[in-house]
Amino acid sequence: MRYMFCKGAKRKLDEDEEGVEGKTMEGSLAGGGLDNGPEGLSKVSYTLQRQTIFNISLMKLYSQRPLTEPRLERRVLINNMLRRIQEELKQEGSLRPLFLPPSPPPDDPMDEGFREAPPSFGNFSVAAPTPQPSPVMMPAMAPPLSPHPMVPPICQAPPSCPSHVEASASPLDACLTPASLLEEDGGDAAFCSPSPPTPPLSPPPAPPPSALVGSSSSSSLLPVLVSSNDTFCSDRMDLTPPTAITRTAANTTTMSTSPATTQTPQLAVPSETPPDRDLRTVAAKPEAAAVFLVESRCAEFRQMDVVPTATPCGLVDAAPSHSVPPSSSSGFLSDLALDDVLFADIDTSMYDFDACTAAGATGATTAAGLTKRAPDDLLKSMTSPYSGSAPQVSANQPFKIDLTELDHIMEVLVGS
Amino acid sequence: MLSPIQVLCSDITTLSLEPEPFASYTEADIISTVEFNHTGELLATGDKGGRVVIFQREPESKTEPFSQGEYNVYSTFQSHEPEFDYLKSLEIEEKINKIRWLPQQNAAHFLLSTNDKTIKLWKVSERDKRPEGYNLKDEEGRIKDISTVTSLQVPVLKPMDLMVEVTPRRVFANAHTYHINSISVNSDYETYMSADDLRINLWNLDITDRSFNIVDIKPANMEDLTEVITAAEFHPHHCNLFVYSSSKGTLRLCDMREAALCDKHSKLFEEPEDPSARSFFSEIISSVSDVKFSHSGRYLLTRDYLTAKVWDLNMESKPLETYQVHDYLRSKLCSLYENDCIFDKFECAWNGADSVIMTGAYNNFFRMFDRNTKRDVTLEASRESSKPRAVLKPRRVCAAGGKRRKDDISVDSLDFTKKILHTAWHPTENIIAIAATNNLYIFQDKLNSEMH
Repeated sequence: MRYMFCKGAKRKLDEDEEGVEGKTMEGSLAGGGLDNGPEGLSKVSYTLQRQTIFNISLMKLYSQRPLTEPRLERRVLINNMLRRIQEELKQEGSLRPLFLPPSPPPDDPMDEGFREAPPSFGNFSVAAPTPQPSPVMMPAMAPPLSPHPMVPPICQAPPSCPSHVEASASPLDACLTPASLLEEDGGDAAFCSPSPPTPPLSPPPAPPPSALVGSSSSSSLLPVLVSSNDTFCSDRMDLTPPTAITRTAANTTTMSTSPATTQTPQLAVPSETPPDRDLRTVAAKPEAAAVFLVESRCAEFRQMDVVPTATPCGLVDAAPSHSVPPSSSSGFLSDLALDDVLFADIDTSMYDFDACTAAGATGATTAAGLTKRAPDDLLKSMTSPYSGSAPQVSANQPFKIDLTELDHIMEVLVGS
Repeated sequence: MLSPIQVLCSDITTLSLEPEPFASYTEADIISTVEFNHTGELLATGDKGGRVVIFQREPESKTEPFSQGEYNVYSTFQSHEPEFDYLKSLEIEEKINKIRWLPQQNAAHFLLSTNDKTIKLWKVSERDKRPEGYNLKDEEGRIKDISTVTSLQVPVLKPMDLMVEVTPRRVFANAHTYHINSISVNSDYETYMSADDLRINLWNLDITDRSFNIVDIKPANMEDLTEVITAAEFHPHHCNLFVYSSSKGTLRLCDMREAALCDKHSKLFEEPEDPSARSFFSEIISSVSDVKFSHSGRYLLTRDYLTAKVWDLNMESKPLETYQVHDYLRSKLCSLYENDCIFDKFECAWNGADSVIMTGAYNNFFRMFDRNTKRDVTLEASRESSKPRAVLKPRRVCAAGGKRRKDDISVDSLDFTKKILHTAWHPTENIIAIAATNNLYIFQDKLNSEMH
């Protein structure tokens, strides 16, 4: 089961990418349709374009060049773009197209997530290639992925394209393909549309989310969570962002529970040094599911494994984790604080590993927890909790705490 | 003014910063800034490898009356080295972001160079004599064995080959948390400012351990950050005035007489957004990548992604003139966003008379706009077209769907990896310097050169 989940997750990631392309293609299609005229098409193309831009923006934020400090201007502009799109969606009363639930979003939860993301892709991403090359996955994924009925072409899209997208650094030519498709033929017209169409939009976009989130099961939350977790761990940075969003959508309403939020802070706060991990872990366990995440980060590998098992429901665990990191996301823009950096480093490392297994375990609460894991696994497992953090909604205070926690994790990792 | 531009250098390869034509270059060779000094006699370039190369204009030769003005390498030195920020675990690039010359006050020249974090003041001086005949030191400077000194002699200055010495005089460090994007020397000749993404600091040129923060737009909560400073410059004549631009397309003119901290601008220059042209990328393409006062101090020239604008200091509501640099890219913004080109920071320049402006574009093209005649021209900086004394042919890009003439270039065939971001105009003459990746091109107005 785990494996299946994991793969599913990866697919999702890939799907996201493909989704972009697919949308692009759709956009071009729609654009072509524009000439002939139905308004619906233009609106669709607008939505698709927005979706595409949204996805591109997320990928940009998540794929930072390693080692050197990212340009603040670029980040701010991209972030503004995301905010703007989000705002637009809010006004339309439907965040669905972007995988966000309409009601819950408090204060730019998404943004926070985004911000958080950038640091995450730190130095390591480059160093350690992901074991499972996404390009390979893509072809397989493609068929199930196609979010839109219209977009069968997606499947045909060459795997190479997505890979280009991933490598943000890649030459223009590579990247140009998808977007250019969008723009030619009437894509522009969509741009200009002064006021985004409200009701008509939601229906068309809706399909993609479901597909992305979890084609397997849209009904039950659990699967969704799992998938999202997997995505985080398994995929490369680029993909991550969308995942985060997905989660938010799924969890926000149901999951964001008070215990998670409140407790987490306490756990995170501990200023103890690495050697004390065990103690912390112990303390955390009683706390509850929320604790789990924290524990996993600080705890040693074995402990981590155990913890997830103990938790009653994968969902519960996931929820707390989300709440915590999201707040940390604010760190993205925050003044290059130390925490930020650490944060970034940690993230990076996590991405490098193929954490699918770990992630699946976390979310699913399956037998995974029982298995003992190697050091690598630890990292992976860490990934999952962390990933959960990205998109959370309402918890603002935990954020700082979370950072401290990250520091701690960093200490553990570095052995300092 | 816009008459054909002629290649000035007799040998373009000597001007190139790269020894072998067409040889592959490294990232470090990419030129990142170009700046004439106040007389135009010297031209400095900085590159991503932290090097500064200074070119000097050759004096007019009597045998070849038209050959005046070729620029040859005068000095090369390493200004910045790569560093590592251990607190952040990040590398600090050695790339030279900006160079600014100080007004010349004696035989030596001074310039400021900066990377992302640290500004340095360099002294460039010539030496053509050296002392010889010390009593206690030999020619290499080693102390002589006293027992061998049997007589006293008077040291004398002997002529030697001209040597250009570049020495670091000041290092202004640790004042910027973010990346420095601009430095500007004040007209009082005593101070200069440095601007990063969120703050502007004022320095005295002689004092390195202290600077004054004159602008700080950093919000208390970084979550609220939506705007950054993209460029800043002092007024050429009024030492109390400076302007800075933002990523939201605005210009703020500040008067340091009003308050020590100029968070409140004196004037805000902003063009209302055209609702019909609104798109997802409106904000990004309106981000100001460069701002320059005219020599007269009356106007401001700004560059955003698609246009160059001239502002009158007396009119804040809208620019006096707007020039389309490459409007055909408007339909490509999504692609340009995806490949990050949309974040390219093109600079712009005035000619000496403030009548023509110049700025770069893609495909090694650069554009010039005559403010009086409203004529504009697109020229290309390339080895093929830049044979010595060759006259540059105007180029033309035809937008998709438009009529295509011979020699026109379609938008789709533009090379977006060849971009001209940095250009400089001689302060008084029609000589321009164009940085195209790792090559430096210097062109001269043909009429101008024939007049000599």
